[in-house]
Amino acid sequence: MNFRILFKCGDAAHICDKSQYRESSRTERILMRMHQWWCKVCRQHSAENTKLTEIIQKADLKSIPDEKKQEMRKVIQQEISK
Amino acid sequence: MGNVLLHPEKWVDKYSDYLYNYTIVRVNDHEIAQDLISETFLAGLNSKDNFKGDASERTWLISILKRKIIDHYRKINSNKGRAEVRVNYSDEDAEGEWLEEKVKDPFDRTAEDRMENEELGLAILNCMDSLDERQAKIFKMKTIDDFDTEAICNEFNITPSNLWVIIHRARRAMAMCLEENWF
Repeated sequence: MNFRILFKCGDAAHICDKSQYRESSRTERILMRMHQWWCKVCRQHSAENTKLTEIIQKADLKSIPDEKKQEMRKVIQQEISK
Repeated sequence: MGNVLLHPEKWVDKYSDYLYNYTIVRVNDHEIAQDLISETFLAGLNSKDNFKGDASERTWLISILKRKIIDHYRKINSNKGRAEVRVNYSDEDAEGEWLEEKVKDPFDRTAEDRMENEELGLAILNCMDSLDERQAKIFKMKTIDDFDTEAICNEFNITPSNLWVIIHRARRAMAMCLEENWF
């Protein structure tokens, strides 16, 4: 178990980032919360980080599929070399 | 003559997703949106001599795209116009419950929400422009395209630790940028 999360802000921030992508373990999250009980800076950072995740989800951004982009690049390249 | 130059070879990487998010809320069809963007790039290439360099490349491409979207709706409307059925509210029969159709629903926030989400999406993409190219690509793959950590690490030949450092810095920069430009 990584108890450094309890004491090191860098480690707590790392778990906070992983949590935004649901890649942290339950234990890591508990240790991070314990860290945040006494660390105001990390508490604030966590709130901002979560807010960023929420607004990105809310915006529901879309990407053009890679194959289509490749097709577009090809057409542009052909036009340029004409 | 302004001092902005065109770099068509970078258009797809730099602007296609921005244009796509701009278009999709207006045409509501992925295929059509993608076609309109392809047409925009081609029209941009064909009229590149008219670019004065006063506006940014993206602004110029958006202005072309706007015309493409208008043309798209003109085409649709000219096809279906003949079959359209119109309700004439000036009829004498149009009384009572029929009039309710004319009243705007004050609780319907769908259009307003969509507009706000679109603005938010474009603000996020604007902020992503301020990240360096590699950082922006990695952030986008992880956050928007939902790629696995392993897949991104393989593509960029980096370790998971490197990836998380890049993600952390990108998230900090994004939060600061959106704090300034959105909240």
